Amino acid sequence: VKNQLKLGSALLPPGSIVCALLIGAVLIILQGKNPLDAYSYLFQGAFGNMGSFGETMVKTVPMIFTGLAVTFAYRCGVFNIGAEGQLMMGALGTTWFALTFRSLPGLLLLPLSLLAGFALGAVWGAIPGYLKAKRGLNEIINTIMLNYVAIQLVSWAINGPLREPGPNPQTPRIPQAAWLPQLLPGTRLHAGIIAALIGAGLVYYFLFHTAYGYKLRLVGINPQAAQYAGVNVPLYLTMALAISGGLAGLAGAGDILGVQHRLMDGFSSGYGFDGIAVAMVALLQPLGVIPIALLFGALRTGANTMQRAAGIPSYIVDIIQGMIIYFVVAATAVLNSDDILNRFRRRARETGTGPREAREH
Amino acid sequence: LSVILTQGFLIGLLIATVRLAVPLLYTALGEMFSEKAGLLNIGLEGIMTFGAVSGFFGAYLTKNPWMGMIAGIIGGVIINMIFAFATVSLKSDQIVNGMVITILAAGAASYLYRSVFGISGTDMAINGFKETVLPLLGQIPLLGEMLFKYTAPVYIAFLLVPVCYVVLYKTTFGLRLRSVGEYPQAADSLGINVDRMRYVAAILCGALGGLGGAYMSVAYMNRFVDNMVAGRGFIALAAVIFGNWKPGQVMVACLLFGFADALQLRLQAIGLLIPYQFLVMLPYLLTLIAIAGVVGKTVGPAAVGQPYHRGK
Repeated sequence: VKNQLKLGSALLPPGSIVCALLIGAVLIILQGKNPLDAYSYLFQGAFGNMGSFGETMVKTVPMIFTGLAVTFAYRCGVFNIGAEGQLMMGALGTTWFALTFRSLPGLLLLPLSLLAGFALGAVWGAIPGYLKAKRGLNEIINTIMLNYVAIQLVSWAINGPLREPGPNPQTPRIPQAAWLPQLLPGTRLHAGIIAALIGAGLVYYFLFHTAYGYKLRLVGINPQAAQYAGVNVPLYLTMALAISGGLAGLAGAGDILGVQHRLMDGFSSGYGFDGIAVAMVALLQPLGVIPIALLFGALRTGANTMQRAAGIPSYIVDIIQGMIIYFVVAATAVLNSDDILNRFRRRARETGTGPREAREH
Repeated sequence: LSVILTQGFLIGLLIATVRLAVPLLYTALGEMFSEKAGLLNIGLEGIMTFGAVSGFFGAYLTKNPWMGMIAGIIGGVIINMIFAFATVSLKSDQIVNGMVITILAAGAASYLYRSVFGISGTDMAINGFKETVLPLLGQIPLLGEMLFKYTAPVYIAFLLVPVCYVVLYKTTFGLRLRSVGEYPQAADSLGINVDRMRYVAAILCGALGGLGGAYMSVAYMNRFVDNMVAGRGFIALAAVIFGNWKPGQVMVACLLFGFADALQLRLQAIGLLIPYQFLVMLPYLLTLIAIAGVVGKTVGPAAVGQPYHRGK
């Protein structure tokens, strides 16, 4: 039975993606359009040429980082809804550092700017982590509240202390020495993708092949048992949210150093919230985050082409993305719930139908 | 500073405070029912946005703002049933499903609007409510007519506060609802159908959240615009916590947050006196402080956020 469950959960994400795309297809048919045409525009828009491939990757990079952030915290039993705020703080930290220490050589400026982004994101994650660990306060509400505090702090910074003279509320451009190198000429694809892939590998290695990762997951599965086993639970809770915040901060830092090169209004397009979706659909597997982030990045990029060429509002992608998470989470709950399986067995016993194994229970 | 202290500015500020508190109040009262029954719904932003688009369509098609409000209720309930089915029947995670509602409903709202009015999302105005002067208070010389002249949904929102109080604390239904959120095992053993009570709470939450959104589109802005709810769903969530899950205090929280919103909009309009961002931050900061227990202690329903499995 356990193997069946394992196989079942491996099939969950692809099955959910197919179901969500089918629902999207129904919506497209209701518009009087051909879903196959629409989806082929979507695909072309995401991967059709070098430029669009580059754009897809540019959106994938921050989603990998925020997906890893949510995964990392969740493995320790804390739900980080605050990746959006941590991402904003990371972007702020990176921009501030690169502008303030602009005369440093690139070899120092680039890594230190990234580090500044990680650090400020980590601080923003450590606050709710500490509050949970020491005072038992719910991290969910706290991280939501801190999102909006961060968004307003960034808005203040780019309208106030960091604003460049001129009509637009934005910071000056950061020195070129701090930019992440471009990987493909003619596209915006930057070295952040390499960092993101390495990051996913490191998170995987840390969680599943080190003693620290084992203890962290133990806290996530059973904090009481971890406490008895001598694990410093409050420390792990705080550290888990701090590192999670740092990873989300890197999402913001990478976007500044690789793509935007300055901080401006409306900087993030919700990558922090996308991270929750990515982590859930990837079933909290760090390496699974990569393909799911790529899928969501492709949906986002291709949606614009589909809207232009087929006349389907690009917002359909939000519906599809929402349905994917919905199916994955609902199916996981059903698979893991004895309650629902029992109800199914009871009904099977009463009616004499259903699989034999179910009836024998 | 003298600009701020003029009578016109202050009266405008107070009127705007009340108007901006109303969508928060409807939605927060809905969330209060939900949380009292043990369902933490962080998808209010999505429910409001979907209520806003439903309300807009209702008012646009019938040319009657009341039908818009009713359509908002229906839209909010429909979208929240997605949440209720997953969290109550399938026992899946409330937080994730709240996020799903936020992403899905906001996307669906803009998708629907564009499907009808074209890809560019043409701006269509609708007829809103007429303002009526409140009897008695409106009779106060000079100020009465200025301070107590609102549209009907504003009065209804504030009338709902005592109604919710009575329903929650003075009826058997309210007692049952709260017992399901405090100690579902005990409620179950007394013969209360936990799942059914949670569905009822989810319907109330969807209806009131949908009303909050429909107020934004039908009564406040007279149009639908993408992202028009603009974080108010999360502020309503904050108001429930800051208001300690009690109708009267939730109303005070909504007025306070509405005041912060009204003030920052006005400060932006007259040029920067102090950075308005800190006013926008206020609801969230106050809620963080309230949660941290610096000012009094906030205690929510004991079983909020937990799925209820029978026979465990």
